Amino acid sequence: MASYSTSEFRSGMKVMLDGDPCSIVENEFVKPGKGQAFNRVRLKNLRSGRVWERTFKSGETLEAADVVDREMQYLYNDGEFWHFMHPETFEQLQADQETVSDAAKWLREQDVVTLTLYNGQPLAVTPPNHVELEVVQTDPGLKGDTAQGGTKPATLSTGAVVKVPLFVSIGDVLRVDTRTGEYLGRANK
Amino acid sequence: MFHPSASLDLLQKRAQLLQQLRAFFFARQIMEVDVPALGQNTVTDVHLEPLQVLDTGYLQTSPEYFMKRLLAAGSGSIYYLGKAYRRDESGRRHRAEFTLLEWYSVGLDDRELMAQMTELFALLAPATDIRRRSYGEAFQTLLGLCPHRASLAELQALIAARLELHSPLDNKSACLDLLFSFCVEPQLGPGITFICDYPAEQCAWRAWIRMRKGCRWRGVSRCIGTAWSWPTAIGSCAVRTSNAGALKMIREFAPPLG
Repeated sequence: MASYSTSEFRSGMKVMLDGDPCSIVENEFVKPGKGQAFNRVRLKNLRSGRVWERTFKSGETLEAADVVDREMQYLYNDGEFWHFMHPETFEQLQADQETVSDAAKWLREQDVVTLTLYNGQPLAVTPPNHVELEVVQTDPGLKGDTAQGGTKPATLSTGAVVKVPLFVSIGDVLRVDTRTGEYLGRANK
Repeated sequence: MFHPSASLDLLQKRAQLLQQLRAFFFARQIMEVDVPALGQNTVTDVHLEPLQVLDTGYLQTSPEYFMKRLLAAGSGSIYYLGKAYRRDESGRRHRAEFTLLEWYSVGLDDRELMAQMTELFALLAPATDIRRRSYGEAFQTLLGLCPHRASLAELQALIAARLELHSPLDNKSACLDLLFSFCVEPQLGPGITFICDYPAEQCAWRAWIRMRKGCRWRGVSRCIGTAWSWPTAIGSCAVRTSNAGALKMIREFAPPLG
């Protein structure tokens, strides 16, 4: 595998550090006049999600990590694993609870999601930024109520619970931001 | 239509700044010298990487050598205000190409040169708070260790307690560079702090000075400005005053360079 020098570090670059795949978050170059130059680098451990800071002498290198993002279709959950399929090669991969994590509540069968693969195996699952899901449970809607009113919880078909305006009722299809869990509006049918 | 990344207002301020700098030196009879940016040779500093130009030579990392040659030839006080180039330097405060002001005031020692810089800063940024601290005092006060007497092991232990380092540093000067840049400089406060009386390891001229016994030498000081930000478009501007004393020595003892 290739390796990268500190001057090539860019945010988003995937590198190996202490045996774990990491994504570079930030790289700051610090140099005192004619002295030794350093790079203060913030990295996110893709396995644990932990972000930490490490200081390198400029010119030090890290090995590139075999991490790729791939668009795949979510098929089904068998109770233990979530199964995904590549839409063209029909190659299938399974991801466990730890990998899918919070993304699980946004996964609707047949939706296309992003799988982050490390050495060919799923490392993380990222749902689309916006999804449209049906409300399966919420308190009855109030007639004449407008968007200015309060909010109430609504359970969506995938199990996610979001705060919605009072006029929303069961059967409505909502547009939701998966990064914040925020209600964006009713989807036009 | 082309849209510059700097606003026209900022470009105007930059032009004004360059103008003020030239006026300052003109008023003090310090001559501007426009030395080559492209030379056949380059520096031997460990931590400076030059940009090489195919078949031609090197873009200069600073005008230092050309200027010192002029000084040795009897130019009197001189300054350079122009581009310098350093490979692999890229960051919030660094660019491979940057505008550098370097000057030599003949006859001034390091304290007098700091006073001259204070005049310059007071002119450019009138309301700025300017003070002076010695390297040893700032380091001792903020980190609790004397940088002059500390051993390599003590410095390494101090680093380990404060920073996560990818691989250990094996010389005292690099340890001091790290601790000063990451742990002292950020705590110097707003305004400008002159740092003087650097440890011997931090002095590029030391070996040379040692060779010449009997010359009266008050120590090399580097002065750095901190939290005194030029508008972004101006880029980094290194203010270097390290060689006032060396200059005296060149005049009195040294043969012409090169």
